[in-house]
Amino acid sequence: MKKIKNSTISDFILGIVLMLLALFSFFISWGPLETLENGIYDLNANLRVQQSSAPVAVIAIDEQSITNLGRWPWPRARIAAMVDLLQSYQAKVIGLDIIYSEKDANQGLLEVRNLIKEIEGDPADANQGVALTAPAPKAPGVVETVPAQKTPGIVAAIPVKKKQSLEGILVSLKESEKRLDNDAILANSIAAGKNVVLPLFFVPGNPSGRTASNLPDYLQKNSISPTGGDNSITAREIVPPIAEFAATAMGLGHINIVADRDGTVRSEPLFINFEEKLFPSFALQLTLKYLNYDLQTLKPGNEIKFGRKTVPVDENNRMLISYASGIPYYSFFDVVNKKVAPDVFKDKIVIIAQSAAGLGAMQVTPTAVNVPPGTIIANVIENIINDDHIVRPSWANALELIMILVFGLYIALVIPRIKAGISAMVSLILLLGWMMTTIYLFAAYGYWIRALYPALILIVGYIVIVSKRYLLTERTNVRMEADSVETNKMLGLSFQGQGLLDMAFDKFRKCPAEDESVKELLYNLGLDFERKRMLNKAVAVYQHIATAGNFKDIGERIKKLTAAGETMIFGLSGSKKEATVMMDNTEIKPTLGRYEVVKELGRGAMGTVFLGKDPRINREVAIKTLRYEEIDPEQIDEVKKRFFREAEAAGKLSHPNIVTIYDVGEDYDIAYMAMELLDGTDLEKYTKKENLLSAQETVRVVSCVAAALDYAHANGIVHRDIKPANIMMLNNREIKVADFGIARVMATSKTQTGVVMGTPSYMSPEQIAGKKVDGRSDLFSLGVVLYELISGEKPFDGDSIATLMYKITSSPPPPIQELSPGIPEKMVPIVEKLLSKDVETRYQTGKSLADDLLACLN
Amino acid sequence: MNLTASGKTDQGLVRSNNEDNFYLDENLGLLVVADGMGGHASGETASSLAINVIRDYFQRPQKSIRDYDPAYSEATNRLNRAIRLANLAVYEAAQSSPQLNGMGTTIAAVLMTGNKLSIAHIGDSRVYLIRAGNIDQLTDDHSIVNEQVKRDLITKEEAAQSEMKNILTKALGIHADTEPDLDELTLFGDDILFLCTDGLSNMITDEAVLDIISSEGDPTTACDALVNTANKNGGKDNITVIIGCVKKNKKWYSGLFKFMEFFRR
Repeated sequence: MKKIKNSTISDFILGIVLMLLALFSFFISWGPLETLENGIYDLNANLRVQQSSAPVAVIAIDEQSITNLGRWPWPRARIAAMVDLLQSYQAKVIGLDIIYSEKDANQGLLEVRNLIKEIEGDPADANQGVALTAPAPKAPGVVETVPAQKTPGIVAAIPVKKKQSLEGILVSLKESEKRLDNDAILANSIAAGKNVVLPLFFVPGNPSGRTASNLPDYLQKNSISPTGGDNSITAREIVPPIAEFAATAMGLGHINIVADRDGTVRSEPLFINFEEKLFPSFALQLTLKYLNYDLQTLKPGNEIKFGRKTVPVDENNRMLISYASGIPYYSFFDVVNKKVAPDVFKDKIVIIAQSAAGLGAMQVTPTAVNVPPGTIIANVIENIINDDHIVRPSWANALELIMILVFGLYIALVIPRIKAGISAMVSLILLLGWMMTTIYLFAAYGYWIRALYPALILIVGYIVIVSKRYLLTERTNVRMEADSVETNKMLGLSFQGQGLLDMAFDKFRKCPAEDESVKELLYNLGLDFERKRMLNKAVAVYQHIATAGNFKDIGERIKKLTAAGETMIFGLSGSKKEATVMMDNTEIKPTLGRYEVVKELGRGAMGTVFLGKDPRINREVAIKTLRYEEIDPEQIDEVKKRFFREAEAAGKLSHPNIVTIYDVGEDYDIAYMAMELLDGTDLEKYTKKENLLSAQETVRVVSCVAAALDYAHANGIVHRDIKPANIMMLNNREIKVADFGIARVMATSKTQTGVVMGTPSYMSPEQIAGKKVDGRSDLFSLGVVLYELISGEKPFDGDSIATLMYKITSSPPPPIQELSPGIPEKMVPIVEKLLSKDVETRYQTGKSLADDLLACLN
Repeated sequence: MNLTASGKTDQGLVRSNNEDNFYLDENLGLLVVADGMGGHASGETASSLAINVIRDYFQRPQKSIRDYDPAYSEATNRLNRAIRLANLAVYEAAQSSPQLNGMGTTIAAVLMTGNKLSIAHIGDSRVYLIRAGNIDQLTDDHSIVNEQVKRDLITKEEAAQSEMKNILTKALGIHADTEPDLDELTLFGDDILFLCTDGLSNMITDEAVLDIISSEGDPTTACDALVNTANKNGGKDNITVIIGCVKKNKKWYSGLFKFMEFFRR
C-alpha cells in the first residue's frame, strides 16, 4: 500500500508542477510557445477565410503596370489622372496609399522655370518698345503692368519679328511649366473630389515629450484626444504628405503596419499615439469617410464605437484582422486603359497602392506570404464594414486558466489511477474536444481562445506521467528479477554448503547461465558432484553450462566423464547405502526376512512400503518398514519394543474390516511388517463435496469401521489415529481399517524432540487435553469422519492449530442438517452423540454405534 | 548502540549428536539460534541450512524487499524475509530427498538496528530480555503445551511436566508458507539479550538464568556457566545459548556530560 501511496503523491506533485509551469509560461508569454500558439492561430485563420462582399476595390501598381507605364516613381500627374478617372467613375472614397512627403523635385520643371525667369527677366529694347512680358500667371487678380523701360540687352538686339516668336516660346514654356508642375496637378485632383484620403507614416518609438500644440491644422483635425489612460503604440516622428496635399485631403490615416514577433501581420493598430494625440489608421479613416462618420465622434476604449458600429480592440488599440478572399483587385495598367468597367468602382472605396516586388514592402499574413499592404488595408475595411471580427472575448483568459487548471488536475489525479489504455483514450478525447471547440469558436464566431497551453499541459503531462510509470514499473520489474536471481544464487550456495547438491543445481538453473559468475558457481558445483562420484550429475551440470557457451575445460570434462560412466553402473538414484538396494541389472533379489522385495510402493510416515512376495506360498504382500536411522538413537530400544508390541497385538486382530498382519520381523537395520496387500484407495477422496458417498454407502462404511473398532477395543487395542486416510476402500468395496496403533508409535514417543503435529482435526478432546485415551476416543474420531463423509466439511476447522484445538474442546460443530439437508433424520442424533465432548455421554462401544446406524437404513 | 555477544552450544549429556546451531554477528547486530528436528541427523541439516541462509542473506546487499509490510520497520521486514527464505530452503530440501523428508527446525532471531530491536521466531526456542534486574520472555512458544496453558487447560507447571511438551504447532521448513512471529522493541543501555533453545529452558528456570547472568561478568563466562548448570541438572537435550550485552555508544562528548552531571550534584 505504501508503494502505491508514494507514487500517487509523486504523480500528483508532478502534475501540479507541470500545471504551475504552464501557468507561468502562460503569463509571461514565453517565446517558443507563443510561436506555436501563433501557428495554431494561423491555421484557424485559414479556416475562417471566406469570400468577402465589402465595397472595397484595390488598384495595384503591379509589375505589369511598371513594365508598361515606366519605371517607378511615376510622375505625380499620372496618379492625378487616375484619381480624376476614379472620380469620374463616382468612387465614393479614394485611398491613395502613396506617401508624398516631399515636393516633386522635377528637373525638367526647374529648367523650364529657369528659362521662364530668364526670358521674363530681360527687359525689351527701349527703342523697340516691345515689352516681352508674357501673360505669366502670377497671383490671380494682379494686373500686370510693366513699365516700359529701355534697358539694353540681348533681347534688345533681337529684331522685332524674332521678338514675336520669343513670346510664343514663353507661352509654350509657361504651358510646359503647368504640365510639369505635378504637385499642382495632383493637389488639384485631390482638392477637386474632396474624397481622397492620404497616408501618414509614423516612426515608432518612445514619445519625445512634446504635446501636439505645434501640429498643423490638418494634423489636428485628423486626430483625436485620448480619453483616460492610453496604451496605443507610440511614435516619435511623423511623416505626413506635403502640405499642399494634406490640407486639401478628405482625411489622413497612418499606414503603419505592425507585425507580431514572428513577422506575421495579424492585427492593425487602429490608433497611433503621437504627442498625446491619437491618429487613426488609413483603413479606419477610409471606412469612416465611407460611412459618413466624423472622426471626432469616435470613442476609443475597450471597443471603438462610432454610430452603431463597435470595433473590438485590445489594450493597444489593435484590431485582429480576419482575412477574407475575393477582394477585387485590379492592375493599374488595366484601369488606366479602361479595361475595367466603371461600375466596379462606383460608390466604393478604392485603394490605390503599390504591389510590385521591390516597391512596397510585402507582408506575411496567416493566409498568404506575399501580401501587398493595400490588400491588408482592404481587409481591415472589410472587417469593420461587415462586422467580421476576430476578437478575444473578455472571458477568454478566464476560460484558458480554468482549462489549464482542469487539465492539470486531470493529469495529476486521474491519469495515475487509471490504466494506460484508458488514459490514452480519455486524454485523446479531451485534447480533440478542446481543440475542436476552440477551432469552432474561432471559425464560426471569431472568438480567439488560446488553445495551446491547456493542450500542452495535457500532452506533456500525459507523456510525462505515463513514461514515468512505465519506466518505474520497468525498473521495478528489472529490480525484482535481479533480486530473485540473487536470492537463487544465495540459496544455491547455501544448499551446496550443506551438501544438498541436487537442490543447489536446481537453484542455479534458475539463474541466467550467460552470466560469468553463474557459470563459475555451476562449475564448482560440477566439481563437487565429481568428488561425490555422482558423475552423471556432474555431466548434466557441465552440459547446462555449455548451453550458454564454453567455459574453462567443461568440454574435456564432459568427454572424460561420459566415457567413464559407461563402465559404471548408472541408474542409482542417490547411490547412498541407506537407500534400499535396488539395482537394475543384478540377479540377486533383495529380501526382507523371508519375503522377496519386488519393488517400492511408496513412502509412508514411518518408512518405505514395498511390494513383497512370500516365496513359500507365492502370495503378494505389502511390507511396511521402520528405519532405525529415522529415530533418535537412544530411543531406538524403546521404539522397537513398542513397535513389536503393537504389531504383535495388531497381529492378533483378525477381522474382516481390519488389515491383516501376517508377519513381523527385523532384518539388519530395518524392522518390517508384512501385511495384506490392499488393492484400493483410502476414503480421503470421498470427503470432498463433489464426491460424497450416498447416505446408504456412508452408513455401510462407517458401520464396518465401527464393527472393526468394537472388535479391537474388545481386545484392548486402541487405534488412536482414525481418519479417512487410514480407512481403505478396496476395489471390491470392502472396508479395511489400517495402521492400528502403528502410527502412534512414531508420534507419541515420550521423550522425542519436537515433532510437528499434523492437523489434529480428528483428535478427541481428551487427546488434545493430553489425558489418557481409550476406545471412546476412537469413536469420536470416527464421528468426525462420519460428519465429513456426509457433509464434505470438517466439523472443526480453523486457520491455526490454536483455534482448532479450542473448537474441538469447547465449541459445538455446525449442525449437520444445515450443511446437508438431505440427511436421514435418524442420523443426526448419532452424529451428535459421537461428537459429544464428554466421554461419558458418547457411544461407549462400537457395537452400539453399529446398531444405531443399521437402524437408520430402515 | 553497541552489542557485545557470545554464544555456546553443547550436545548435552543424553543426545548422541548436536542438532542445534547458532550464529552471531556483533557488527550486524544479528543473533540467531536454531534447534533442528527430524530423523537421522536431518535435524542438523535443517538447523544449519536455516542459519546459513539467514547469515548469507544479511551479508549480501539487498535493494528491495518483497512483500514489504508497512506495519513494521525496514529492519524487521528484512529479518522476516531472511527467515522466510530460510523456511523455503529447508522446505525444499526436505521435499527433495527422502532422508530429509519431514525435517524442520525452530528459529529464534534478533536484529539490532540503532536502538531498535527486531525479533522473529518460529517454534519453542526463546528470546529473553534482562533489564533492570528483571527477566522477561519476549517470544511466545509455538508449542502444544503453550497453547493449552493459554487456553487455561493446564497450568504452567503441568505444562513443564507434560508428555507433549516438545511437540510444536509451528516449525520452520515444514510448510512452504510458514511465517515467523514478528515483534519490535526499543533498547536501552545495559539491556541484556538472551537467546536459548529448549534444551536450556527445560533444565533451568528463568530466575536461575537471571542469577547466573547477573553474577557473571561477561557474556562468555555467563554462557559457560549456563551450559554447565544445564548439564548439571540433567542435560537431556542439546543446549544452546547466546548472550548479548547492549551498551550505549560512547561518544567523545559523553565524557563531558558525565563531568557536568557530576557537578550538578
